[in-house]
Amino acid sequence: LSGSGRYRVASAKIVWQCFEDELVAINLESGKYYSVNSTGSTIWRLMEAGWSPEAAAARLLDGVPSEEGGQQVLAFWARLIEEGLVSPDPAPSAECREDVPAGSPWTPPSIAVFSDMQDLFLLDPIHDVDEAGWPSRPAEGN
Amino acid sequence: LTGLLAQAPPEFFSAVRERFEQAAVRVAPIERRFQIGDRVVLLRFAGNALHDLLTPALEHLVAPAGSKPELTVFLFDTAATGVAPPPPAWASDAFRPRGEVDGFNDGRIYTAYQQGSDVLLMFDRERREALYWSSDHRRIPYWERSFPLRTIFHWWLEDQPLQPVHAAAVGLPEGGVLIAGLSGSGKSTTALACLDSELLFAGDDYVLVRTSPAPHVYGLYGTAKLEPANLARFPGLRAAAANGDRLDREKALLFLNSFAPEKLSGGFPIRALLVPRVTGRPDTRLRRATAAEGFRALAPTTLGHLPGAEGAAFAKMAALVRQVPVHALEAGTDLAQIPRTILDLLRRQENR
Repeated sequence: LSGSGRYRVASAKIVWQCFEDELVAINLESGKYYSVNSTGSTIWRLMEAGWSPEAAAARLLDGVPSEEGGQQVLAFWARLIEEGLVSPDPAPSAECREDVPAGSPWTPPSIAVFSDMQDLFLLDPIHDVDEAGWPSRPAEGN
Repeated sequence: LTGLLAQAPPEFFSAVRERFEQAAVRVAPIERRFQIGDRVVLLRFAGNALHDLLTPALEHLVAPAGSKPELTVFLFDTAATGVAPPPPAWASDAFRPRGEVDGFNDGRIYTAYQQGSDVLLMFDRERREALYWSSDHRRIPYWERSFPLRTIFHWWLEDQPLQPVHAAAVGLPEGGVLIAGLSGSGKSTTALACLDSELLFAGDDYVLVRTSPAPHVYGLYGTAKLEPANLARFPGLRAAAANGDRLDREKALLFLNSFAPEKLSGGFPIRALLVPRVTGRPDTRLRRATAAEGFRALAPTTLGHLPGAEGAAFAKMAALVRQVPVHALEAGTDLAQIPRTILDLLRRQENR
């Protein structure tokens, strides 16, 4: 993680939606989905708007000097990278956008990971193909 | 071989479509129109093999002969017609999770190969036509009969405020509830528990929702599926199972239009989203939940079944959830309490 680096949502296979107090994202490659709390949601939106981790932490903790809070922002950001949700932006825009809502008062950012859908996203190995090349195998239940 | 591999998605679509026409010369074609949401879809079958398998779930939605379709689906299978599609125009490693075919989903053409049922699905957005091919209709699993063409409807409606979703729905003509959750969360039990009440049934597994101008659900499939172990709780339904001789390996498949057509609803406004949970306790209770909780119950599982067009579907489901209250439904073992609890909620909403 580079504190002054710029990041973006890692790929078009990550889709996400913001709600009042939570952001929900799904990785369509892995089938994992995520619940991000209110502060984490603001961090996500700042990241999307071109803010670096350090700049985002400074804005979130404005007026409340807190070394611990800054560490929590960086650790959360690193977690987003680790989960494959976020990656360095190879071509960041010159300016970051200011139009990110302030969000609710500070609470430590957190992310919950849900894996209960992953079996639907696993690639089924192709066992047999027919003479023309179409996969063919015994049907299974659903 | 080189020529085949070089075939572009629209040309491959045309080649498969041409094989349908050959099949429809060999076995008499059947044309059926169905009302899907607020529009008409024409299904053209080469012969009756696929027709007899796939249309029972839709019989309550028959549209008038001659009504103008907005989508035409061509369906054939090789076993019954003797006509096969061309070989795949892609390499064997192009198959992706959920059946997507790499390189054959380009914004105009959508392609998936459903492994397990061995069904090829394609949609051409420009022509508003879709293809459904199976090597052998006898290989199509029972569950495909409970939600035929759901992926094709999903692709077709990508640019419309309509979305097939993994949810049940019950209600009154003036309003009802959408019930969302993973398989096994209690959607079917909740929906079937309402058959003995004044609530109507719009679906137990896949329904069609409209997100604007106001949230609305349309019944899509007149079917329900129930774990055989759960059939004991609905003694009246055992005899209605279409696959009663295979309940050792299949869920019970019920066609409501065959035994309770008066309970089927064409749809109603959505007044609330319920997220069921089976508690094992006798009583049923509602607890207010957040929009995000409702979205987590609805969206990931829907996208897990429906390849492609995910961004639009995700946004439509979010738009829906933002417009209705969400409640956790703690479903108890006293089944009669479930419809009473839902009716109480609907009356409270109505009085607001």
